[in-house]
Amino acid sequence: MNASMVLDDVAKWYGEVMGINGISAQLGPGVIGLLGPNGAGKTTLLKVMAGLLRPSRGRVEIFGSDPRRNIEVYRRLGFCHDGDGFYDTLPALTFLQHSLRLHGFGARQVEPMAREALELVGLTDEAHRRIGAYSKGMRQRLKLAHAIAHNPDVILLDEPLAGTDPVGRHRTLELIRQWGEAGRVVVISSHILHEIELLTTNIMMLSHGRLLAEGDVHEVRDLLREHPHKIYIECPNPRVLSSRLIELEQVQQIHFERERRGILLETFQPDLLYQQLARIVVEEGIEIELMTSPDDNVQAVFDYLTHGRTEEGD
Amino acid sequence: MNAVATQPMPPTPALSRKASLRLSQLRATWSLNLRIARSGKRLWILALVTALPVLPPLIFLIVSFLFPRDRTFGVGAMAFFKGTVGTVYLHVVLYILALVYGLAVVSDEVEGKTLIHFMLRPIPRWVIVVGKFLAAWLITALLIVSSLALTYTLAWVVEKEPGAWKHLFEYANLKILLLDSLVLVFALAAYLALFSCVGAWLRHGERWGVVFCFGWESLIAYLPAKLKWLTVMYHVQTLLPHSVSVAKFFSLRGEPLSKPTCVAILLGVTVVSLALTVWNLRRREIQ
Repeated sequence: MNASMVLDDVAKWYGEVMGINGISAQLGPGVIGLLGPNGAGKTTLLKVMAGLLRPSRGRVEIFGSDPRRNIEVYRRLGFCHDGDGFYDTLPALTFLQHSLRLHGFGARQVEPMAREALELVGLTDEAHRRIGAYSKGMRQRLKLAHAIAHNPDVILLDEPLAGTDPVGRHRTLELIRQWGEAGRVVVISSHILHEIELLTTNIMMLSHGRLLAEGDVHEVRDLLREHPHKIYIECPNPRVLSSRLIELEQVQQIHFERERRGILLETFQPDLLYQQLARIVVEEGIEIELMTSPDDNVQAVFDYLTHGRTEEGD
Repeated sequence: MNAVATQPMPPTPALSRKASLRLSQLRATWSLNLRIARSGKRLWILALVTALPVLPPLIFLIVSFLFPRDRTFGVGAMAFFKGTVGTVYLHVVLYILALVYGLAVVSDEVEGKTLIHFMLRPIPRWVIVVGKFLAAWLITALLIVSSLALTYTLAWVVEKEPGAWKHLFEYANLKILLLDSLVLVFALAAYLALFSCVGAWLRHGERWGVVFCFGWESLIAYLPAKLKWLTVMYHVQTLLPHSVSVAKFFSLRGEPLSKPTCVAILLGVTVVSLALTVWNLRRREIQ
């Protein structure tokens, strides 16, 4: 992968307290979900990535430069941080214009750029309103506008959906998706896993300051060999299907869910099982109403990974 | 894959382009801070503080107008002006302005959690400090100079000698006003820079600032010989075109420093303080 951002054995300690430790990753274009419960170290990692915190060990490079040593990195980096500090007496448009002037953009360039950023986050009608009069959700969207107004290639988003209403949430998710599709590097942190799942399967999972897993969630799932894959099937005649499936050596267990006419299979060889399943369905003429993989998702992978750690911790 | 998102950083811009960019960023920082200061309550409160020295002649004028009697202000215009500069301006107004605006250069941004907006921009830390310092300097300089001009004018208006107001425009008097203004503006730079540094490095900078102004600067001035060289105020007083009471008292005991030396020391205080503030910002982390 041609990495835009490199993290090499990054650690951050606050005195005796570990923020993050031993984090290595190479991040390329697309949306990357940074997942972990509260206190996992997501914000610390994002701030280290953005050069706001100095790593205690290791190195961070964005386009080959350390953001703490080369301020030019900030031309290509936007960060929607977790803070809520604004110049409350300024109107949003003025704030963004001044902010763009700090980048060195000319006086004539900044107004259309600021307006475009506000339009993207749905704040056009509030552009001349004082920031102090903004609601929490509007301030969150303004932070997003501030992060993207200069059109960066790398966008770091720390819980960007926090405090947003459903409409704002939908709009933000759509924007993030578009940025990822356009080939920007978008790192989005959240402790709400399904939000991330709507955007990407490319994840970094943090817990207790350590990187538990990184990569495609399905590939990560496949690597968890101690946990059999689960496949849930609903059909009108689950008994017929299960009687055929139980003969297969790939099937470890079958659980019946009578109320929903469903069966839950456990297997260590999902690819082979899917092939066999297709054959059986055709042979028996079974009409499959629903088929899902309840543990091939971000939440399940996260649960498997963190469960082990919790037990270790206990 | 987007080609742009994987391209390396562009080379550093040429020196002339860089200089023009820095100038434009400096202007942007400066104007942002002016804009914020203009819309805040602090400016109006400090405008009132700066207007304090104007009050005695103003009150006298109002009382004389409302209750006309044969009363006099009791002190000559220039004596009043010089005395006010040497006491109220130097030891109250100057300190308050410098404390409030100087400490705010960095600590306001830290407390308001707005420093991050600067730190995430491709802007050198010295530009942030100098831009904010210049904005604070301009505002405080305008406040103090307009107050000085008003005090000077009113002092002549209430002068007991009939027709004395004509001396208002005399070159010798105007020169004193001009030089006093220059010295106070110069002193503001030194104190603002010093308190920017205090605000950046120390928690509860305002306490340290008050102790420095009303403790160190005031008390050390009463100690003999060269110790008072360690105060900023000594150098400011030396630069004034007229002696003030405290300076006159100690000129008998201490070895006077030349005016160019005092200018150099005040410049040194300003530059070193700003450099230390920049250093603080460079090593600062945003939690």
